[in-house]
Amino acid sequence: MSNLTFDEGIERVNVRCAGIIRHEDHVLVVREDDDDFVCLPGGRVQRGESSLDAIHREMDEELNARIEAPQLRYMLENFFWRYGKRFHEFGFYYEIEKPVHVPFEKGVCMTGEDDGKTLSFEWVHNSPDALVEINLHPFAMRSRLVELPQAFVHECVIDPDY
Amino acid sequence: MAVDLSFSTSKEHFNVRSAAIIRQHDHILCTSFEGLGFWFLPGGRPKRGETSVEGLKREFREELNAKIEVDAPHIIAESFFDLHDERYHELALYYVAECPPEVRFVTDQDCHTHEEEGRIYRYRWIELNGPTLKQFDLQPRALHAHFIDLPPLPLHIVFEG
Repeated sequence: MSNLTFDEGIERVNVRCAGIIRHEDHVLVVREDDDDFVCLPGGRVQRGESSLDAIHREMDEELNARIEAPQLRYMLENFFWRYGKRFHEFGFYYEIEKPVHVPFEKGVCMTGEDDGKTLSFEWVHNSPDALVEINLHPFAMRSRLVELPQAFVHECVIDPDY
Repeated sequence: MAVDLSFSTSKEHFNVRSAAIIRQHDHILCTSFEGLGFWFLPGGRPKRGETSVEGLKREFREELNAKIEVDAPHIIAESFFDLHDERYHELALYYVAECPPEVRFVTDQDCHTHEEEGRIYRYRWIELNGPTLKQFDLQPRALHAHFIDLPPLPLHIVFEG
């Protein structure tokens, strides 16, 4: 199956799902290879797949975790630059309980592989300052992880440089 | 050039759609065109680089010559269906909106028509009850109950059909 990623020149339309996994004032982030930024764990939604199926699949592939009852907290239409591309992204952010086997410890707590890339997971203090410091992408999520909405919130977020 | 958020391979389509739930006097504003065989809620596809809100406002300007005010979507639906032997995957955002003053309220006849790419789009107020929505085959059927009684909290729904 192919990903819901559509490039035209430098324009990219993308559908992504990600997990918000919080534990003791921290949130789990992932770095690909030696990127200078981190993301929330997750990945691209595929053709014919719902974001809900995708979050189950991604958590299984990346964290070897069988998750239960992910709760949609944000659906963002996010417009930003990354890798020299202009992204128009639909992001589904699901709150997920910490999988028991993911260790809660300092530094890289787990590694994985995706598409030949090394994934390094780590826990970061869940505060906008710490998330700015570690360069969490997309920017919109830096200030939206401490308090999560009850149902889901939809927002259109356009980065200033888009 | 801005392009609609509609991406097709030979047999599969992925579309993003932004639509308005406009209810008045126990009716809901719907649209269709000759030969389609079903009705749907007015709206359209956002373009690359355009938010679903901007896209919806633009469609209302273009199609109904009307100004629509929307806030946040009430329903986000990920649906999978077959149409004319082809497979569709749709991400739809449904915004509840007040009826724009430009849109007339008349029943038992079309309240507006609009021609685009050789198609004549009809707009009509359809009575908001199960049997009538079924009779007009308002799509998607899975959302009839939610159009009749709006969900109290924003609803995210995944369905086939």
